[in-house]
Amino acid sequence: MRLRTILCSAALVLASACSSSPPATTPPDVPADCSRPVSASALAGPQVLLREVHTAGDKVGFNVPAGTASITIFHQAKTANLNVVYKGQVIDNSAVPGVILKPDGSRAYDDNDPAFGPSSSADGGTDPSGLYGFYGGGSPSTAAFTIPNTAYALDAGVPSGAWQFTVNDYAFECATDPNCTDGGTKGNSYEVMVLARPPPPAKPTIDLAFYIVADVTSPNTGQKLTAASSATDPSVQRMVSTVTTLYGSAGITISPPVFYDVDPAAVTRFGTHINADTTGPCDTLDQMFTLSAAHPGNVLNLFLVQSITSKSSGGGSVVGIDGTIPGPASLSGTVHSGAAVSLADLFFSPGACVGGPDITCGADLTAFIAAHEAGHFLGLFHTTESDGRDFDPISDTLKCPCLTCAASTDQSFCVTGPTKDHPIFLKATQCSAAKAACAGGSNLMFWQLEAPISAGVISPQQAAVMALSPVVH
Amino acid sequence: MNWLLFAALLATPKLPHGQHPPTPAATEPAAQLSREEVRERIGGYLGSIDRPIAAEEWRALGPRAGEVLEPIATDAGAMPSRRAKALEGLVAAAPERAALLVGKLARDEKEPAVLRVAALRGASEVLPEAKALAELKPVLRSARSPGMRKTAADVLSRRKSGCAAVRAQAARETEEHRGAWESALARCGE
Repeated sequence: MRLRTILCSAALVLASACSSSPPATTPPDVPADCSRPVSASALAGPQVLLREVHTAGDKVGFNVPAGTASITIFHQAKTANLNVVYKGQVIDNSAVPGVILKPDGSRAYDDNDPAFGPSSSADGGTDPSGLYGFYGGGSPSTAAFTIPNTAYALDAGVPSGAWQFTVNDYAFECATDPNCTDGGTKGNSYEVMVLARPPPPAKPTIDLAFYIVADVTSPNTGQKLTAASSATDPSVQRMVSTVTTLYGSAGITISPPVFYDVDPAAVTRFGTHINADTTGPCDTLDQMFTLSAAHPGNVLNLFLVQSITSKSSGGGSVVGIDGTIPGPASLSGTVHSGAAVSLADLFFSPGACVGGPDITCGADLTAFIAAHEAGHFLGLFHTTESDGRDFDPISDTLKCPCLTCAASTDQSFCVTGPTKDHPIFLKATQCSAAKAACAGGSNLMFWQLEAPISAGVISPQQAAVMALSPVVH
Repeated sequence: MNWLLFAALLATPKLPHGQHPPTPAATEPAAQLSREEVRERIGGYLGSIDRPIAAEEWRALGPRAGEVLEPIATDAGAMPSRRAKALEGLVAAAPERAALLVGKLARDEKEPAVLRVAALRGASEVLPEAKALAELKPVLRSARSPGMRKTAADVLSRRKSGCAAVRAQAARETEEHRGAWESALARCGE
């Protein structure tokens, strides 16, 4: 990981000294060439309950009208440092509401109370489905927090009346936490916005935009893939058709997508290889998402690139990566306005790529990846994480718990956790319901794809969360 | 600061959501996996969507992994993203086998870009510095795609010996593409 310059040197400065650092207009850890646009929502009128600039720590009230099905609280950094040092580790300065209060004064979420973290699951690991508000982490600079995104909240609904939340980021929390040795400040400012949306229409619809960032020649035409040629390229059209089929199974319509080219400089910079070794707001991945500023609108943006690697977590290639969960729906051009998808397999078709979705067909595989990453943007988490020890905040998705489903040689690590020498991965085939309590491998949001198990299943609660995103109309 | 921040402490940015980082190496050795178990696990790794597989996780498969991974990495009939992941696994689990492949794959214009990128990155790990420079310089200078040349620059700029070549090629790039070389040139002290 590239160690970024931060406000104070962790080794030299006491937490209290750092915490009291006066706010700078441009924090010194933000590179001069870093673009962190603050964007207006494509939605307007009564759906925008609030749009104001505040300093971290401010309490902000807003009134939720009757009949509201979901609310989304946005933070967009006006002045905010990138990192904090907590217990010696450099971490992103994520923005997240501090405390969210419902009209009856009860807490919908409290970032400082462990009770609002996921509780232990009877299956081992953690299960946040019983929480009212759930935060997935990793949202520096531009952040969205949607309620409801859990099984409990879907059932409880969003009460009308006077709500309140605290403008907050990790730097603000660090300012009073002695475990923080750098980056703590109470001076960061954010444009905050609250969007409300009514219940989804009978036919919820998503507008998709594909950005052709990759420099690739289509074997179907022998020509460079462009926005214009995508409209007729059989592999691209197969991919779109499969995404449409997958979301259609959840009752969500995909409008005919739009395709955009990007300028040649951006193709060179981002198209061949997205180095996600670092994924902060000023790093390559997040800067690529700002290309969406060229085409504002309430759309879900997917950026097609050749390859993505994430070496910082000790790993290698991935075939997709999200900006944040959920993404900042209705905002274009921000550092998290979309998700990246590898089109490395798009044109690969050993067979004929005919019939229903089949992930041995490259276009369909790419469609599953695109639909999965779009699912993250819409607020969905992995149903069961790869080690079988964490589950999504949804109660009708099938689980594949480590304690029950892992190979016998892995079982002893299910409680203590995997080690570098003994990783645990629960494959789709281990979660294919052959064993009743080991399922979920067919779900769209399972962490892995494997034929013939992967089927792109979307549960009713998952569909409900997706349909409550502001990007759905 | 909620639980996620604590989880993040051991992690690097954007660890897949909810994913626990691997804990430090176990005191007990990894179980010896059968050939079939190795094949099964590799199949799982290759199907990962947005969860990167760590080098340690490939290595934990043991020496048999190379026998499974190499045929996948070199199979023109296999899905390109799976070939790239297999090559990364080979670099981690059987670097001596990978060393014989990475230069050739990185230079081959007929190979998928995703595989060439994995080969470029792998070369910097498994080849001695001078050999890596010799093997990758042709990509830096002659790859048809400006993005592939830029990726080669990113890899070579991480070694001091590569910087002269990176600077020289940057000077040859058109203004339009040179902006993308900023990070490589910055690493080389420009």
